Amino acid sequence: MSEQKQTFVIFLFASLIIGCLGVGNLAGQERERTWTSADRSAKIKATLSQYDPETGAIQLILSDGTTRSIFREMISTSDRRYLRGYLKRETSREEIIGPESSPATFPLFGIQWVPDLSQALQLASGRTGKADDRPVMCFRVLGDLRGPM
Amino acid sequence: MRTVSFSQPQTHRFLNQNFVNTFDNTTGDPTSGKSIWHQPGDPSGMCIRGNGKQNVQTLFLTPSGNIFHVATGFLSPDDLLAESKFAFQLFQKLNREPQIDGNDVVEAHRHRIESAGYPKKNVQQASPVAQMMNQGFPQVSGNVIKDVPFFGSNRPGNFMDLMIRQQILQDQKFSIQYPLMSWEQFERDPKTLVGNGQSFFSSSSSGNHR
Repeated sequence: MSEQKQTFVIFLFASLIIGCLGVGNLAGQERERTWTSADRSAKIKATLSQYDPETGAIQLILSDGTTRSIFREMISTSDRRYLRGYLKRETSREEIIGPESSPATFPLFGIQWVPDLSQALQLASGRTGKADDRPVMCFRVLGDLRGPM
Repeated sequence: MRTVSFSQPQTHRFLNQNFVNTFDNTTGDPTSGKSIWHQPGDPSGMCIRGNGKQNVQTLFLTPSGNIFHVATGFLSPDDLLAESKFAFQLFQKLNREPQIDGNDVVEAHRHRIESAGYPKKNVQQASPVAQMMNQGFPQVSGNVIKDVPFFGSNRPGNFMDLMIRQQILQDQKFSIQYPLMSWEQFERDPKTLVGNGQSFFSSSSSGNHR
């Protein structure tokens, strides 16, 4: 194989890998879209970060990187249709790669727990600033949550 | 108790999506109560909201370690979800401000207990028991705070209802009196929340005395 052909094959292979990585990344992340309020009086551009179908809680990431939490009842019917599609995509993704979990947490009674408060507070501080902060729920109890109590 | 409180998928989802969840073992703390040992797999017994307030407290904190909402004692899955939703919405409000402000915590809790039927002028005055004695004991219509009117009517209720209402009110009043108390300060003196009493928690007949 000539040097030119070798270079072309390497370029093609590298492009293929980069392309696959890109597709893999897109598979787990939603695109930015316009969200409309239920009464159609307001619109915002944001990316869906999380949606809980049981409680209706929706977390959006706005274009400036800040997060906003809203509830399903507050959005238009087309946005709700989009949420149903999101749930289907998430279900099929979890079937392929399994649910996301953080190495610092462990599951017990259906909850992902961080084993101590200082770690929990660290995790709760947003990586990209205050807008990403999360609150901490601390179950303060007499005894060992994992054993007899 | 824990197996009941954490038994519903919608509670799991809400807590996992919106909170960083942790726990703290209070064994050795002089303010903690007494309990009968239970394994996670032991059958759960009958509990009402608020049972064993010295034994278990659900605290909600900012990432900087300041307590902005509490619920003491046993919580049913519905109660836990309702308290978590209130805490999450309050946190969202607090976090939108340039600096987290204790006045917002006070106002949110005042509004919550006023919405539940407790007279505004009495929120920080007379003891809740005295208020209820004056105005009658309404009956419990549900186990989530918004469903529990403090003064729905003057019909007589029962003592358990009164205890539940009193404890819910005391939890809200803690956040009004000590908004954004730091975890360190709370750990030094948990009596501000759990009092001086010693509660005893037992929800089933199996297990050993502790």
